[in-house]
Amino acid sequence: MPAPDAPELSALLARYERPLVRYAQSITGDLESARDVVQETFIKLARGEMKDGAAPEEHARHTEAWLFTVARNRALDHQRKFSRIIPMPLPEDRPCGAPGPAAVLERQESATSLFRLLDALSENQREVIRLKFQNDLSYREIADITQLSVTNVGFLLHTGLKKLRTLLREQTPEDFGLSRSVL
Amino acid sequence: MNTDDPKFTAYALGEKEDLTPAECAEIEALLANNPLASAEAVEMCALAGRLRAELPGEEASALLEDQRATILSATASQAPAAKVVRFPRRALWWSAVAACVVVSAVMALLYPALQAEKEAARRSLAHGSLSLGTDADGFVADNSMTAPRITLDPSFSTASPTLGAVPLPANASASPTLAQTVPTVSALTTMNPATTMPSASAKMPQDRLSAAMTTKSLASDRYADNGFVKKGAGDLADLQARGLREEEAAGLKRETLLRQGNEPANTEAFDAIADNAFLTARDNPLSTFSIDVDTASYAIVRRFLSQNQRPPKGAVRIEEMLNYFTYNYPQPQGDAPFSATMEATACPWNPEHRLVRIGLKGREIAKDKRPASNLVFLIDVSGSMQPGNKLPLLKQSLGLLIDQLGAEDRVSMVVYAGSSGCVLDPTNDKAQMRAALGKLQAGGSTNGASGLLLAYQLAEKSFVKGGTNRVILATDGDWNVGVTNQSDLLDLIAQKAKSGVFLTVLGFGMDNLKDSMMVKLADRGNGNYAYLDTLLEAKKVLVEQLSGTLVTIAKDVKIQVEFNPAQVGAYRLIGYEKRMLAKEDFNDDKKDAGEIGAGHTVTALYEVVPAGRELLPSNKRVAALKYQSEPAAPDAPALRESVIAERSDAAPAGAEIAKKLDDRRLMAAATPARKEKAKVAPASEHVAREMLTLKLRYKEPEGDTSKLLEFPLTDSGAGWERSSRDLRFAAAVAGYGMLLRDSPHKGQATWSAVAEWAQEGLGADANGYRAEFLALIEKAKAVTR
Repeated sequence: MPAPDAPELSALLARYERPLVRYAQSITGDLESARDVVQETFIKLARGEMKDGAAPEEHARHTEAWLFTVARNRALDHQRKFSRIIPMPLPEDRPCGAPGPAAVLERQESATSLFRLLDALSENQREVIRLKFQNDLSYREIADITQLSVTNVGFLLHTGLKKLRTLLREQTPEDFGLSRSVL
Repeated sequence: MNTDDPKFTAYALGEKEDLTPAECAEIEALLANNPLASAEAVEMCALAGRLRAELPGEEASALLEDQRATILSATASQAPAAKVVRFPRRALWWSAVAACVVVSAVMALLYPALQAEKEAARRSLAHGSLSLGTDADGFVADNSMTAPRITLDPSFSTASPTLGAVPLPANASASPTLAQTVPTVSALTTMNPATTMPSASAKMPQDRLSAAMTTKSLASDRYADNGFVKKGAGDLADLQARGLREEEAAGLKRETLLRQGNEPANTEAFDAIADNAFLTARDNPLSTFSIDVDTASYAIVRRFLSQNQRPPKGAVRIEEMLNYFTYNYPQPQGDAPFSATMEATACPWNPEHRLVRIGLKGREIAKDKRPASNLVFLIDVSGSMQPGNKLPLLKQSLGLLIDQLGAEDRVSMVVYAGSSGCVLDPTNDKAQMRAALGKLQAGGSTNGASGLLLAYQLAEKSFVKGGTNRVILATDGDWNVGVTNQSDLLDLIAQKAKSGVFLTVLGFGMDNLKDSMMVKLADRGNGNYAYLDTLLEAKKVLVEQLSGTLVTIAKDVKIQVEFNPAQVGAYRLIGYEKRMLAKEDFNDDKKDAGEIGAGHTVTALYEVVPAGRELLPSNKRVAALKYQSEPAAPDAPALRESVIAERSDAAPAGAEIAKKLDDRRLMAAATPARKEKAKVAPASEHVAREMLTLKLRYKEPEGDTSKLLEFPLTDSGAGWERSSRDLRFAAAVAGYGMLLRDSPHKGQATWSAVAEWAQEGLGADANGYRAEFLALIEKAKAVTR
């Protein structure tokens, strides 16, 4: 397919750069290489390297899946190349944006506990849960990105969520925070 | 297929693309037939909602500026046209949300309960099992079926007293009638007026419900309706198109519903109630109902009146008003968990009728003797709880409760709104409890279902054998997200109640109080329901009557009154419309009924038409039969004719009245004599004079088999002037309820008459509740004018 034009690319960039950096970072473990990975991914896109396989109305979704797929492969390559294992820092250790209203803080607090729980899952489980709930991708898209079968994705989500529920039940109160205003 | 299949999860997450139709059908069948599976799906949706809400909030760094520049410069084409790039993300998001809605829709569709119950109500009398909304028509039909023709025979007159304060024989088991009954004649007349000990009065146990009927199409009911779910999905699609976020959507969704409601200004949900009709003793000798110690209706009505509004009729439940007050009933003797007292007097709003009071009193338990308790506070912290009369009052109220707890009592706390979580693990450390309570704040939408699950899980985990295990749900009941399908929730709760964890529902706030939902929750959860409109009310429920609120001393308490057609022409149970049971249910231990708490008093009133009195035409529901002649009253056929004649004359001669007075005197004179003769009189004669026999069935709190108690009552014909203060007061409360409901049976009751009866029955009124009632009568008089 033709490479996206400038406004389109800007839009895609604005829309996906953060989710992709976050995703890549969950694989590489560090921000710097995650940024590199995402930069390379977008450059590939800008150069028209994305194969056009989808119907026009599927284009946006196709683009999204393509971006995640490329970012993932790059990130894995990167990780292999440097074979560094850096534990992913907890969210509260990360640089924080502008302080939001109380609701945002609460959300982050309660999310913190959720992220802690996620850490108890296997890498595969964590990844599909991120793709599913953080990036709103379908089973099929996740399967495409991760090169697993749809059945595999379903299994990972199933076992991951089950484990998460068990963990949540055992949650201690302070981990939970008080905010329920999550929606 | 089971819930452990990844396909189940896929279905719950709305991923049906890769499921075959057969698999979908299999899962839907599972959801329909297995409450655990639907609970599982509910939990899954809740978790998915939480993940969707929280994961995107994770810190996500941007690229560096020069990286972005590099990318943009790499683009080959420089076409300036601004294109709109359509992102699928929101669409996917919404399809997932819609999927959750669909899951609940499927449950609703498949769960036959709702429909089946509607049907059942419409069709017949299976009173006991009805628990979901049915409609008013259904209920009326119901009544007319159970309430066939009413024709009476004449008889004696008004006042001639008797009654027995019957001490409950210990542990009477199942044997029939007379055995344990030794009615002592006088008792009540001498009863001490005052005495309203603050301890046990009515609070709230579980109650009711049943043929619920109609509701004004208010939100919570709509949610239960399949129609809504479909409609909701449509709304979602619209909103999606407009790119709204979910919380906005939830708000809009509700607004839409409200706009559709019949009464846009009022989003409170009260089920309609049709007054119990008169039934003839000959055709319907048995009157069966479940006890009710809920008190919410009284406080709700008070709140309306305090705002100078007339309460909706559906909010006026006379039994809950009667049971709001404590009456001076004797403590049970022996092992029995409660005592029974009966009294008959002239019916003040219809002097030709008799008014019979049945009073039960649960054994009182001293505060320091209360068994250890395991309480789970389940607290609604959704946005709608923000007003001062909700969450802030709730915190104060539960604070009062915490003050009452001892070292043996453990509390844990679950909060829910958009999602739910435990904020306090079980502890007996009051400082921790208070700290957790203090931190609560409102915000977000309400998903009660997942919170309930969590609360019950906690309660089961720290179950205290032989102690009090109770989930205390504090909410305005306005559940607007997640699975609010009533039948699912109710089934879930009924199931949990079997595990020995009971439920207390504390209702808060106004405007969108979902009364009907709370009534049902408490009913199914072996629970009680109180409405807290003021801190004072909280004190009554959670301090003065704490033992009654927390400690259940008997469960599934059913009352069956057998009327003697020789003495009783027709009767009407006042209130308890939602508690009616089919006569077969009385002996059916599987039929759920109300619980009685420590020190609770339960009061029921019957308006009785003596045998031989003609019912007013307006009370006749069914025309006379063509093929069956009315059996004449065995003892007074002649009198019957005279009464009929009197009516057709429409000008009762003084002579008639004099005659009645004579009859009454005769009866009154005969009564004491009878006592002497009782020992020698043949049983049949003795029995023939009885007005009714009260039969009670109850189970020990942890038992499965019921015990039976029986007490006969012989009407001595005592007049109003000889009635006890408690009875007068109860009559006033019933009159107040009938006037507020504008009941067809209100007879000669007027606001001033009601005030007079209440004044007569005031007594010592230690806590001032009865005096407050007097003030409410004035208020009601003004409001209904």
